[in-house]
Amino acid sequence: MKRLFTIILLLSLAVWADAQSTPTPILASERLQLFRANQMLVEDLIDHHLKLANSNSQLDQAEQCRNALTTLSTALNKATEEPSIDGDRVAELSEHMAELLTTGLNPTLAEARAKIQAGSPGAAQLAKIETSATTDLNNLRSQLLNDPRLTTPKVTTATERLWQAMQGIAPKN
Amino acid sequence: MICETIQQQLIARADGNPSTEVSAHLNTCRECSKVAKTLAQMQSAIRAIPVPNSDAAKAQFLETIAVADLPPIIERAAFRTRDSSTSLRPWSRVSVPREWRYAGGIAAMLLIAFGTWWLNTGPRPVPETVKLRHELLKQEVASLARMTRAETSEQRLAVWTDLTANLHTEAKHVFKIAPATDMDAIERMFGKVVKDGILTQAKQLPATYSPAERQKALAEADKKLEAAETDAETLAREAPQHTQPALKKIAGTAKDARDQLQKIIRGEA
Repeated sequence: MKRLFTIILLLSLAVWADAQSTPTPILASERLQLFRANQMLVEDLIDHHLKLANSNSQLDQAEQCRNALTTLSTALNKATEEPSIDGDRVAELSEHMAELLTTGLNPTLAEARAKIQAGSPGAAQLAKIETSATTDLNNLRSQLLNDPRLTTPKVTTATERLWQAMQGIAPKN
Repeated sequence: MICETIQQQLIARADGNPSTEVSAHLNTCRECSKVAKTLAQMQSAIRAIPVPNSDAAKAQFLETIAVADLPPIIERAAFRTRDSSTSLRPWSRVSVPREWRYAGGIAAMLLIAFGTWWLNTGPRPVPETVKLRHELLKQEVASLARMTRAETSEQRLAVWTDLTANLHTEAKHVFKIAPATDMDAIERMFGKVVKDGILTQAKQLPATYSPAERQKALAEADKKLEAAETDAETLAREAPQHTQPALKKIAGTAKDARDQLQKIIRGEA
């Protein structure tokens, strides 16, 4: 009788444990695949870290951050050029770009803007960074919006966030 | 080794570490990995069952589950701490046949099990397929943003330190199945981040800093490098032969960097 009781107790616990909606652990083989897919990008981003760490001013940092965004944008472009388009990758990289804009480039530009006087060399450099970043992202936007294969909700949500973050590069007062 | 055998071994050793063979299989099989996780959750759930904290409650608990196999004298006397005449539970004095108590208990358990199963089955919304995302890349983007906003050597050091830890974690997750080329790539990145990142930045700490201030500024980097060194040395011992050189190099790089940091703290570098 006690054994039956124990079995039922364990079965109940098993049902309960199985019902817990925890995320499935990522397997080592899957992690390795992801590493291989991103190895070049990860190495490039380490180089961007080095350039950022050696920047002497806030504007230089903003310029290096913009370069890092270009690297991510190139990787995103590549994902759209695959014979069978990789929508998940487009969404993932769009989110990374939005994150870098929101928490890196935009606040840095905003701080620089507050310190720089109109007409100074810094103001010209600032305007140049803003224009380059906005132009690059607008080009990317036109390309993605014109691609009928990129209309899944996942991609649309991610790219919308990116276009929204883009508005913060040079906010209109 | 087939999944059934692996799962039997997992159940047999649910409270211990799985063998190397089982671990290797878990790295590549989602189904068995899920079973291992469920077993681990069960183990922790069993440990989490509360133990009654008073003698009376213990007596009640034991009476509920073990009364049938105890001799009558123990059944009634061993755990009783309160005179039955003062009992606050008049229903407990109602004579219920033992078999009925078991039947009631089992029925309740079955009801709970069925209820839990029922709540978790039936029509559910079909989840959108989610492709796995690379945690290292995500962390690297976040640290790029931090590096963009970093204003001091300490802030930059913190970013490099986290990057070092992330690469160490990446090596830890894949070393058992990665070919030498991939482990060499991780080792190369680790070396670059440590030498060109942490050490270069450590040398750029303000010249006015005292040894104590330098030690404080470099403490976290030293701690993460120590963890990487110890871990990589341990992993190299259990790693496949082809990934051992990369792990040993990671350990060596971390050790050399720690020595360098000590020199920087003493003002010798």
